[in-house]
Amino acid sequence: MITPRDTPLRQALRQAAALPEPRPADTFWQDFKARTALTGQETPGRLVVVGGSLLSRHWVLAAAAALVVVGLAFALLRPTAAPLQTAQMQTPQAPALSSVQEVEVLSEYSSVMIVEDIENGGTVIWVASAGP
Amino acid sequence: MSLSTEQLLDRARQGDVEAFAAVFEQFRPLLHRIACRLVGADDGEDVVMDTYLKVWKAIPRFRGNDALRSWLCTATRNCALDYLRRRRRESERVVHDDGGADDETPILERVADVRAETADRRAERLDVGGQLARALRELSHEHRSTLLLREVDGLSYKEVAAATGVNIGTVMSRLFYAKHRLRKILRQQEIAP
Repeated sequence: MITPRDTPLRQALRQAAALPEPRPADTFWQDFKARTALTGQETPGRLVVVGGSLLSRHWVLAAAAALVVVGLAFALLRPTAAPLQTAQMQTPQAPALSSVQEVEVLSEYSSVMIVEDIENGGTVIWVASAGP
Repeated sequence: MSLSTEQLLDRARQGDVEAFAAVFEQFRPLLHRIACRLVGADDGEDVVMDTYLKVWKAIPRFRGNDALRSWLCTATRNCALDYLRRRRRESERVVHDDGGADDETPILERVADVRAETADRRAERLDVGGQLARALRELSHEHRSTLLLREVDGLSYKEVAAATGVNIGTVMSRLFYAKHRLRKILRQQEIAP
């Protein structure tokens, strides 16, 4: 005799929680046929994937959320050409035709003003003296 | 020449009951075990019939048969839950002074425990397993059904997950705690070492 103490848990469980055998196949399917005669079948319409998880609500919501995140990231991170062009226009890189390296004025009490005309490539040096 | 499962399913979609039976008979013992664990042995057959009738009705819309087995486990669980809800409504109509039920307890646990005793009490009448059957009843419904579906009925983790409506990780966790709890109860009864 098999006892819970002497046998593995599985064997003991099998005895303790035994289930009745299912009905014989022929009587079950006979009953089934009689019942299906009363109910029709659905017409093929919306696709149902067996397993169902691909079309479940959670998956649809997660996919929609992922699309929104990807869309936002793309909109924020993509390179923008127009502002760069504007910036380049504001700071033209025209070559200077002249440049002032050093100005030395011997007169005391004088002041020097240097004006670089980048657009035309010229430089104006203005020296004003307040001395005698 | 015998037809393939896909060919039989095509015929079933066109209303061929014989083809339907030829495909789905192989799953009937599995669905019977699941149904019995969820609603009790006395009503398992009714749940299997409900499940197959629903599958029959919806079969024209089904595509693919790779996951048929797992899908049927889920369908059986859903039918079992419907069955338990109906039974609970009926019992509430009959017994008006049933104040013991806790509304926050899952419906599966509230209703199934009462009928699940049938199999356990049957086991108690036997010489073997009486104390084990009592120990099983001390487990929660989730732990008990998971343990029995896996260890006694031989379902895969995936099938147990589909039958109980949880993921595989939860199945494994429930199995662990069910065995742990069962051993503890048996040790208290001085059955297990």
